[in-house]
Amino acid sequence: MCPGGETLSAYLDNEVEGPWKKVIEEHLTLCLSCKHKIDEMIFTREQLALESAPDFRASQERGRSYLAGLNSIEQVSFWRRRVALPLPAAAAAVLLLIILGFSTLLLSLHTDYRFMSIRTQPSGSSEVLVTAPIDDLERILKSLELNSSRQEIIIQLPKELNFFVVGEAEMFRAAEYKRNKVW
Amino acid sequence: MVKRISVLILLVMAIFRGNAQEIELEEALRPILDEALQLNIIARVLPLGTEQEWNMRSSKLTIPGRSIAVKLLGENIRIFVVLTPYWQENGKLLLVAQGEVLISEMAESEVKYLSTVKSIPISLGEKVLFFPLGVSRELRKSFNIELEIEILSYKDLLEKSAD
Amino acid sequence: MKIDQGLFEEAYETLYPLIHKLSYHITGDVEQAEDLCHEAFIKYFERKKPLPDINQTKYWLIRVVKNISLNYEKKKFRQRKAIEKLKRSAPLTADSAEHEYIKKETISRIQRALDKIPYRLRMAVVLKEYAGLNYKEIGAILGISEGNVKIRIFRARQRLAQILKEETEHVSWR
Ligand SMILES: [Zn+2]
Repeated sequence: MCPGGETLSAYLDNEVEGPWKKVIEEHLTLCLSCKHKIDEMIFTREQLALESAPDFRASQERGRSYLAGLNSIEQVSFWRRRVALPLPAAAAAVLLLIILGFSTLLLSLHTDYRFMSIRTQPSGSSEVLVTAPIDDLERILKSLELNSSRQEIIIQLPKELNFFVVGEAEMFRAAEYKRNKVW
Repeated sequence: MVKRISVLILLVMAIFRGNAQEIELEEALRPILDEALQLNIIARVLPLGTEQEWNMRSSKLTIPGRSIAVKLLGENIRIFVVLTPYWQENGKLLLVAQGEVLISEMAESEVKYLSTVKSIPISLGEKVLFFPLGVSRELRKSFNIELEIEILSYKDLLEKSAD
Repeated sequence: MKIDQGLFEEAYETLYPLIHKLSYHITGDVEQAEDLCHEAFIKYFERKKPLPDINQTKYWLIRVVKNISLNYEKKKFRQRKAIEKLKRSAPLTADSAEHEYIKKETISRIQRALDKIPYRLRMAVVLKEYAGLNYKEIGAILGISEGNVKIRIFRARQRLAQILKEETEHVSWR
């Protein structure tokens, strides 16, 4: 009785238990048909083994810089969570702006933060006081379009058009893209 | 961690120096205005057969590290793109685009959700193209969506308009 | 809140080659492989807590690759359908046809053969041949029994042998 193809394949992967392994080994010395089958499997396996994947190093570097970007997003969200603002909206927005404004911005502000004071509440949230006329603040905030905590643009696409996804999202420098354009 | 601590120290110092309550507001906000970036965004739908391309322009102000969200709403699609510029140590900007797409494609009734994050280092004034639905290299006739993004320094713009 | 950078770095350094290789053999496309691979590491990064053991991390990442690669496969299938549909309605220009041709040529015949076998068979054989996992581990990752793994790997080998053989015959006739 010949073993099934699955069993031969499993034997090749060393997944057949002791006694059965012996039986198959013996059978293979006697049965040409099974020997041929397993040789074919070995050949396929060897071909797969010879197949090399493309070089990963450039891709790994790209991934690294990209993850570094994500890491800075992390830092931003850290601050967003920690700050609660029992303040007039405009002043709160200024603080949000400052705090969300990435640490480089904060560090570039030197130490003259005289226009505000900060109190940390027992709950862990902070209260910030900005000593500036609200009118002026609002004017400047308006010029910075910071009325909402997140900037949002809503665009209505043309009606009666069906879109479909043609691939992964991609991003290019416009100059490079035009040069490599296929069509 | 080190960065965070130094920021904390800065804030704490700010409290103790907070005795002098008066300050020129313009002065205080100057660093923020100096850091402000203007994002010019053009959404395009292309190619639209023989007709001209469809486009929509918009611009927003932000500061490095702070996101601008763009929502594109269509008949069978909702695209949500979050754009965040960062300054890198080499003085270049890093633009991070997070895209989410909800789409129901023609033949199928189910709704698909795709999400992606892409980033690219750029200089001020350099134009970037983002294709939330991918680029059609083979499909000449399909409608595709392209976002052109340009980041400018708000300060430069102010100075230019003052000239 | 701070992510343990050291452990994460170590996992990224050690496991990137393997995860990239698996992603490539599963998707059969360099760009998709990169995206899939990056997606897997981002997911790991987003866990916030790195796994203490590199082996555990490896299984975790492979499982994620397995989970998200299905989306890539579905997308590829839809794309193929769409391209075929378009080819029928509008003949491809010389340019794009050439582009397709070049793209195909850069992919080896083995990878093309892998690409032709069904996704579930490919997944099993790739985990066996390129990750060196045993049937038990593969079963755990794919959520199937060891017996099932055995069958899938055998069928994958059968199909691959057949495809490669046909191709060789085809070439020798020319
Ligand atoms: Zn036999």
